[in-house]
Amino acid sequence: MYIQNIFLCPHPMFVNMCCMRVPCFVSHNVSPRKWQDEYSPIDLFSHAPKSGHSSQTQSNSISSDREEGEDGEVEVLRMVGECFSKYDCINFDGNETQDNIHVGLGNAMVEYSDGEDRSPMESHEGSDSEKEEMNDPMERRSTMNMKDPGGIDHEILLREAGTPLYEGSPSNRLTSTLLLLVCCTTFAVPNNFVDELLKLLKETILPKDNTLPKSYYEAKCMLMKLGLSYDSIHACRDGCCLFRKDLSDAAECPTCHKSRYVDNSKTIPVKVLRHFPLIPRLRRMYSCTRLAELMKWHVTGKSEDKVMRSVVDSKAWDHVNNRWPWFAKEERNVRLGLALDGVNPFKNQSLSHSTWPVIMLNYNLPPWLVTKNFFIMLALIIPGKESVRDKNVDVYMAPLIEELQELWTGIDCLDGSQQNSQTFKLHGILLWTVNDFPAYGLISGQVTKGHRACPVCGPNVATRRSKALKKNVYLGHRRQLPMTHQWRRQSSMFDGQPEMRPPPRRMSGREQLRYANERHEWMRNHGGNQGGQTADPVHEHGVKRRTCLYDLPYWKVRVCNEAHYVSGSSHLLRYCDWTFSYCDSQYEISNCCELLRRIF
Amino acid sequence: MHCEKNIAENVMKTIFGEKDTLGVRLDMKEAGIRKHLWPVTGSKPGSVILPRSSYVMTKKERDVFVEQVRALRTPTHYVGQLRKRVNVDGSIKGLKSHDYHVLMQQVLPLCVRCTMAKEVRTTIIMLSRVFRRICAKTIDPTTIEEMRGEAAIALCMLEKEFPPSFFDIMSHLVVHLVEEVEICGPVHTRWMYPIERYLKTLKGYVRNRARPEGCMAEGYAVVEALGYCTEYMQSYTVTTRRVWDDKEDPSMYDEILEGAERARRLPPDLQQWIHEFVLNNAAPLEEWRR
Repeated sequence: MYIQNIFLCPHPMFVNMCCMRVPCFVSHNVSPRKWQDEYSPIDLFSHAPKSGHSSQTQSNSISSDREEGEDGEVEVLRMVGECFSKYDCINFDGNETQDNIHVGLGNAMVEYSDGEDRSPMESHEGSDSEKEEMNDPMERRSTMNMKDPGGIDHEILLREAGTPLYEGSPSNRLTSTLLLLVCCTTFAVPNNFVDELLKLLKETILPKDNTLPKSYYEAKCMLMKLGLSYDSIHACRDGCCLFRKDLSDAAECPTCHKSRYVDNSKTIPVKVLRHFPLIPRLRRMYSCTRLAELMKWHVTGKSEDKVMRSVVDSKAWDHVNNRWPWFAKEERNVRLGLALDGVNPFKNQSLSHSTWPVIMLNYNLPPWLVTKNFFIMLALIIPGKESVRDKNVDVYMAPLIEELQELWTGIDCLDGSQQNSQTFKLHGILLWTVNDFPAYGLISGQVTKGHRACPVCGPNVATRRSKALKKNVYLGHRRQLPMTHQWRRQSSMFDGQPEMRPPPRRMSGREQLRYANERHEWMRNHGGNQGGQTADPVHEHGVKRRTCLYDLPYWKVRVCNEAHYVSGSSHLLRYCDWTFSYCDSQYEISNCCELLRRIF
Repeated sequence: MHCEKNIAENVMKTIFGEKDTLGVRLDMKEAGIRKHLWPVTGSKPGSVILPRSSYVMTKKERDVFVEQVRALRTPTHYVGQLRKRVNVDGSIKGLKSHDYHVLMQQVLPLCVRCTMAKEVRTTIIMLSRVFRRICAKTIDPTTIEEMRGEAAIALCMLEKEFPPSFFDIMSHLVVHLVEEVEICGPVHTRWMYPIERYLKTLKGYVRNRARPEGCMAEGYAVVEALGYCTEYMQSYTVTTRRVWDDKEDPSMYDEILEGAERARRLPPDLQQWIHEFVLNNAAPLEEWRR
């Protein structure tokens, strides 16, 4: 059995925080384990081995150890420790600790944001120096006072954890508030009720001098300090640009010259895009032991009898593995899905207001958890009132795409499930997007109505304009039949013609790019504002623009289909240009040759 | 999801005759197909008669169909209450997308029996079969080729039996749905259902109607933070619920029977028949039968 070393504050949240650009307080040796076998879901997270007895004695030894020679500062920390020791049994192995402390109360102010990508571990290697710092309360104080750029104020956190609920209470302010909120959230009670409950508890039930928050708002503010924040990015009224980077100080949009702020104001923005950074969220996920274990489910979850049971068994998944073996080698690398859809946030359907949340799905998880609310990550909230349009969807998506690019090149991440909490390079890939059909057109930059409504077939779709119905009908499904099928020759039952055309050719990713460029050229030559004219090449091939997804280095992909559709895989199917190429050209060509060889 | 829903909706409207308008018939005339369905001039001046089409149910058939839908009994939570969607005038309205899903997969092939011409019936059953295979929980990759052929045949049959106006882009996409299944595997984590459900959750966070997006963001941030906090509160077992749990909600996997139970006895001949059927067909009894 592994014995773990938790030196001071045992709360894994601080390990998390280490990943959230905050001082790193502690590391621990967590025994590698098969969670399903040894741990029931409930106690998965308590870092104690199952034998409660030994951990008890050990935790006693830590407290006695700590108490000698520590002053008030440590007192606070110890209180935090005690607060969380209810969640995690503290273990301390007296024999081993002095050598095995890995991260001390850190000078490890790890800056992920500045692009240097320092490993959190690099910044404080050498256990000896740590030990010294640990023993120096002044050093610790300076670290603790640091406020991290993400907005998590640790001093406040520690203060909350150290405040007892009332004189002589077994619980403290933080714990009791959290428990109350969890209860209220899981049962989805109204806000008013939470307000009322807190008021009741505070003023009537608990002793007079209690510290319980007096309203839901106050409790929520406290809770928000424990989570990750989101960025509010100001946007142009028409979605021409986001006011960030170079434009962060601009007062008006450089394209349409509309003001960034509402009239007569210098501070209230017209439109705000909410961006929930993906990378810190993934880091946090890996720092939780149980979640980190779950993120590796896809290795064990792959079906062995070649029957597809989840996306893990799909060709697209295998394609990623074959195409980028280095990506497949690290099982912790994440595979994501992107969902984009519009929603009317009001109950009243007659109010037209269209908010577009962008949601990330994490396909590393077991399929029964992928779609659980807790695991669905919100990435962006694109504000209404007008719905997103072709011309501005790329602008709004930009922050997310940048993050995905960064994720592809790799980020440093701390693995909480491993012994020693080692860092590793985490990579991520976007497998496909999930949309309804109109949103699909939006995100793939293609047309979803009219002559060229099929985004998969592109210019090759068979259609007929019906004057009587004033709409296009898409017949010609006999093209999908084998060439020798008798129905192909029967004309009277179908549309009056024998059908001898081969199945429609799928548009390849490269073709799509070429068409997009063509359209772009045409638009530029025609003053940029003539879209929809008869001569517009979009009527020819149905590609409107080069979508922002092509900015991802791996997305040279034929996005396939449907109301929900996909991006890619290698396996060329029946037709020679089903190029799912995540292709560099070499790859695509060789594949096509291979196919042609097979066909002819 | 949307594709299936739209097609199911389209099928329902077509067989109920809601889509069988003059325009549809004129379109057939325009394309020069199915001469027997072209509109003919009536005896009164200016009146037009639409000949009866095989893809529309007669009043009587429709009553049978609706009666079957109304009498349908499903496991609890399997589908929304379909019988409540049946109106007094025999129309079926106000279905949600999941209702259409079940309708397409289970109800339609069941309820179209004994109604309409055999070809139309088979077509609908075939279409339903295609969707059932697309939505299967487990998919054998070796059968995909067969699935593709089936989809093509089902669409061609539709083309034969249904009016051309039926074929909007959604019906074309069925072909691609099959391809998608081949590439990306089973649909349950890929279709929009969970996303749409999640959008409802987001919508629920909106308290201040003047700032819906801000409310969503704050609400999400709070619940997310709370979820991660509960990760560290595993030893608190006083409340059993958590923001997320690896264990399923027991009410989801056990069927809950509702209403008072009542013992029923099968008619003797039916019982006899079932017995014989089982004995004659059960696989473990194979060697005894020989």
